[in-house]
Amino acid sequence: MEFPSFDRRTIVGLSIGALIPAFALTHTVVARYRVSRHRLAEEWSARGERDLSDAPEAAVVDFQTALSFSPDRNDDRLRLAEALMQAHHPAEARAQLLTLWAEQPGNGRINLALARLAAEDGDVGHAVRYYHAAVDGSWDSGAQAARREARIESAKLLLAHGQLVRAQSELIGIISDLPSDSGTITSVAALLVSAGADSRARALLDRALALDPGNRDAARLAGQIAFRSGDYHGAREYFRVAEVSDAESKEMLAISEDVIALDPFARGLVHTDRVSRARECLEIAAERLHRCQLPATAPPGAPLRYPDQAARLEAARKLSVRQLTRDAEALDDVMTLAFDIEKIQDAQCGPMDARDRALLILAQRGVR
Amino acid sequence: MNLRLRPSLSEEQVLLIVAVIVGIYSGLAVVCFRIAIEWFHLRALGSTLVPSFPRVVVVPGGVGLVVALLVIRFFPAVRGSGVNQTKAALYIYDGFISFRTVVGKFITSALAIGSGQSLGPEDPALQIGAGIASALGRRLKLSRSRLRYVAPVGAAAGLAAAFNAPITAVLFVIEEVIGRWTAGVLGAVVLAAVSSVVTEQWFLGDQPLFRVPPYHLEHSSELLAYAILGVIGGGVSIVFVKLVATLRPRLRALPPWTWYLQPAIAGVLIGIVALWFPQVLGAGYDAMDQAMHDAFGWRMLVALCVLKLLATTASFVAGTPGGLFAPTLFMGAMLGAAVCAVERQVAPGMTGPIGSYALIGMGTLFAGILRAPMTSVFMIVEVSGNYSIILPVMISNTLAYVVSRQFQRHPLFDVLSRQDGTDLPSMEEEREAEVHTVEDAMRTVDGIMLNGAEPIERAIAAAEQASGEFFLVRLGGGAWGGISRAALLALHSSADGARPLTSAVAPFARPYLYPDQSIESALRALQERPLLPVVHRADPGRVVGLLTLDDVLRLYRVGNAVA
Repeated sequence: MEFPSFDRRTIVGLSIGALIPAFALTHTVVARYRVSRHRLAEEWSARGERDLSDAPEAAVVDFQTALSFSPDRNDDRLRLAEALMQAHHPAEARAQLLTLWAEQPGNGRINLALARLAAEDGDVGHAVRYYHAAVDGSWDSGAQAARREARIESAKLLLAHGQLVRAQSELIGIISDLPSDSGTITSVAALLVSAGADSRARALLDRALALDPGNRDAARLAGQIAFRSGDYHGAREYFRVAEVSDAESKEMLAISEDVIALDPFARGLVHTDRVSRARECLEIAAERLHRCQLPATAPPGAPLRYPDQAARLEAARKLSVRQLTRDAEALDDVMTLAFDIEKIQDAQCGPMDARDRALLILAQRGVR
Repeated sequence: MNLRLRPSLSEEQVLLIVAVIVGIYSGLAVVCFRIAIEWFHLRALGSTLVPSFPRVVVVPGGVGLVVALLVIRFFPAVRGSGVNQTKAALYIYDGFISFRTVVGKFITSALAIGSGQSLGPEDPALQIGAGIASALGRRLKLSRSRLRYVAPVGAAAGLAAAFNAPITAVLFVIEEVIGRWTAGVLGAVVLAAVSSVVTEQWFLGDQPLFRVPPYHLEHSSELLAYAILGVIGGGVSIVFVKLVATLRPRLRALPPWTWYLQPAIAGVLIGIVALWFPQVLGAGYDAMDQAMHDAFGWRMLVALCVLKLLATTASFVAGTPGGLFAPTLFMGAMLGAAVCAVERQVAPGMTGPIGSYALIGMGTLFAGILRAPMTSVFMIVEVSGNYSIILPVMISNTLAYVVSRQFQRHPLFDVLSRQDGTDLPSMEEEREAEVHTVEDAMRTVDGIMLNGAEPIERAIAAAEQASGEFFLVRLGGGAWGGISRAALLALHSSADGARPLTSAVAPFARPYLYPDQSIESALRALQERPLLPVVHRADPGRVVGLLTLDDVLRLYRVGNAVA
């Protein structure tokens, strides 16, 4: 085909002029192409969402297909990474997340996902760094809850690796941001307990119980903290609220009640009660000594293992109520004897019951 | 007819304006080309990454038949990748590429790649750009020399838009098509590449070709793994080039009616492979992305590399229009990722991100197969957007290039052009050609140098002891002159023999050569003088040798005799 002949200026002018329809045509084609790609990406993405819960492998293919139509849909790439994690392809998930991270290093969601992967690998250093980046990062929605979640996960990881002080600092960071939700507060308090921050945990648990007095978990935890801190009255109250059923708490409750019931030095006691408790303590110590003097396995006629204490015990037993009431030193001697017996037997005579434990606790608190 | 755009515009400036226009049109064409490929892929194979059984078996073969018919009957110039056709336009056809070829390349490549033939869109885009440039250049009645260069300018534009990487395109065209860094052509190539990329990004966005995790060197010993990748990549490149070089002429030698069936048979074979490995279909960019994101184990990666090599060989030797760039990158990505995956098992904790290995593998195969080492290095830096990756890229690419050169004498495109009967210049051979310098040809100064301060009589006596017909005269102050035996004898009869020779000899305008100067520039100087001194660069008064035309001829005679 022969074209008419023009000079250069005209040809250049025509070439430039023809760019307008060429752009318009290309624009039309591209617009349709974009709509089509967007629609396909949406379809495959929706399919991925449907498959994500019960068929993560299929979801992986779905999201990969969605990304092939729209590689810049970062949400789909993130969902792909999540699907890969669910389908147990951590290396691939990490690669996808790192690609996203390279573009959005301040994205909280990406950092949290990376932190979880690192945590799964036991890579505490990277995990904590990503958790912190998630805390400091940006979130599209639910930022406060997500940041709290990141800190809690970070604390759990640190606790699992024995890094109690770092875990404490993670948890302390969220105390002021905790919602008015008794359950959430209790779970954070439980972590604080694991991190060895009993006093902060107890304050939180009191807050949880104020919000929900029927929160048995909070009460049980608070009771254990109170027990460990020597607040047996508090422990008894908490355990009663908790209506404890586990063996450990039950034992703590029993011991707490015994400590309260046996303590001859408790404030406000009249002398007769004090003497009565001292004598009861002595009888408990006597029982313990008796059990240890002649173990069940000992042959008949075997010698006593603690003859001195037995002799002292017999002498103390002979003191009358009147003598003890009048003579404060004698009362102290009785209690000292009871405590000595429990201390020695604790070291040499094996398991003891709740009353012996209560007596030992009183012994360890010392004579006031 | 007035051939000037404006009286003040030179031909070179017109070329720059044309370059921009060509860049924009090429950008538009490549945008439409990419959309056409994807549109057809969606229609033919569906939107899923794993096409259904009947489609995979029927479509590549069926469309292969149609493509063969179109190529043989209507567009015979569109066979192959398009790189050699563009070179042929530059060196043989005075920049001519018919517009019919552009249309044909667009349609047949879109059909072939869209239907799953194992070829890529970059080389066809290069030829489409070159064709657009050639058509515009012809309409503008550019001079013959400019018209020759306008096709590579368009080629750079097409490639830049296809890769979304202008530096890569400019380097490739300079390194593999033009072979020279002349300012006028370079400016036009750069302008065309930039304007096409801007146009392409206007419509399709500025997303990089590959989205990869950030690169970091986990341990310096990792460089050893990259070196191993380079050696293996060189080996794979040799296998691919030899396979293509062996099978292509054999298939062409079969009866012409089989040419109609060859792309179809290649398509069927690829379809059968794709039943288990759908990643080999088409250009394979999605699979490359997956490999960069750790989607495959090392066995799968090796399998994909081998199968892609075979599938691409089948598609290409069958004469299907389509490019080799994308398959090369595919094989490289799989190979790189496979090396990383194996390294992880051998030396856990010492391996960087797999995406980096895949990227570097791409450059490695590019250097090994296409033998464009500079382009291969800058391509990876450009598509990754990470400069720090350059160290392993250089190690791996250089090794692949060296290994490939050692065992495969000619680069792939040179082999193809020779098979097609067109002896296009090999840029690699030109790069590697020995450049002679003055030092190689010069002789010693003994016997043919006279002192200008001496009287003419003594100079004649000295000349009688020597055998030359032309004498060099040291004039003092670093200046040199020359005098023939005949002129010296004439001086003896006409002048006072006691006069210093200086008085009768005029200094040369540029009276010396340097040992490191090229023979070409020395020859230009020897046009005016039969003999020239070769002096030390730091001390022009110190003569290190002499050069005559005979010396130059002797050098080349000796060189030819050795060859």
